[in-house]
Amino acid sequence: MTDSELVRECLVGKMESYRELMDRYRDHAMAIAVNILANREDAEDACQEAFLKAYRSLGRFDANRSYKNWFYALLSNHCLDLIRKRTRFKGFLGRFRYEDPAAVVAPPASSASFEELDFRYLRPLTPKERTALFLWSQEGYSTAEIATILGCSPNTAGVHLHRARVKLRTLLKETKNVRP
Amino acid sequence: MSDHKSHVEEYGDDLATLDEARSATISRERLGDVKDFWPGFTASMGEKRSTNDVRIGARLARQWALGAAGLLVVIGVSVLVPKLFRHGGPPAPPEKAAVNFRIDSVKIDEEPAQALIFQTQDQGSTFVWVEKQL
Repeated sequence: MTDSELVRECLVGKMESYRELMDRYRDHAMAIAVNILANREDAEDACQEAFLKAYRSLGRFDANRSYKNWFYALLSNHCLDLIRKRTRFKGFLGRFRYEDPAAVVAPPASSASFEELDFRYLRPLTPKERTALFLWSQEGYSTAEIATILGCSPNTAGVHLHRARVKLRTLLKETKNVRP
Repeated sequence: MSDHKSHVEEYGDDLATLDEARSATISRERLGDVKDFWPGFTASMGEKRSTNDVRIGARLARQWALGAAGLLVVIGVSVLVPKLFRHGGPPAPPEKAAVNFRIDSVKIDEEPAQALIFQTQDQGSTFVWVEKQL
């Protein structure tokens, strides 16, 4: 059964069809969210919210388009929105000398089981650069497809990808230089 | 893609290769077991169903939050006003500058937004943080 057929079934109230869609894209969703947010727990929360958001928005899905790309766009937008909110909030609190520790949204500490994920090359990149790099390297997307996901022009997507690759190369060179 | 290819020709060795990018990013395989989001999804749907309407639920939550904020303001004002307008008796000690505010509704881009109120421990500052609903 195709994604579009499953969506049609969801729209007539067949919840099991949405479970099928979730199972199909669960791994994809986590991979893209982990790469954008560079934190596994945040990525799980983002995916959970995005699946709910997607379900509520199914009525707006165009069956002629790819469900995967539609969902990727929704999820990456959600992740970028989370980062923007957190950055604004931290910036707002940073203006004041006194910071109530309880009011500061601290990133959740990674549990030991997640330590194997290595984010050292991702964190220096901007969220959009991480998204572009992930879609290009892991999903084989072209700049035009990346642009669809990021909601920008292909040229802008190309710039994000280019910058990501330049930064990554610099980081890799630095890593080689510090090796004994 | 052609633009990207021209960048590659121009920058050559300064760009990470596809293999380097693959090893720097997290693949689905490297994630291992991924959490099943279905139980959380059905739980959220169940919560929403109990209110019959998602929007009504969200609106009620906002109304409760705003109501609580309003109640705090009312309590604050009811303590402050008698002190300011008390006739007779000893003169009230000079008060610190007080700023009263009231939040009836909060919107960003014409969409209902969420308001969070923070107060420092010395109660010298109050921050009102307003953010878009996700």
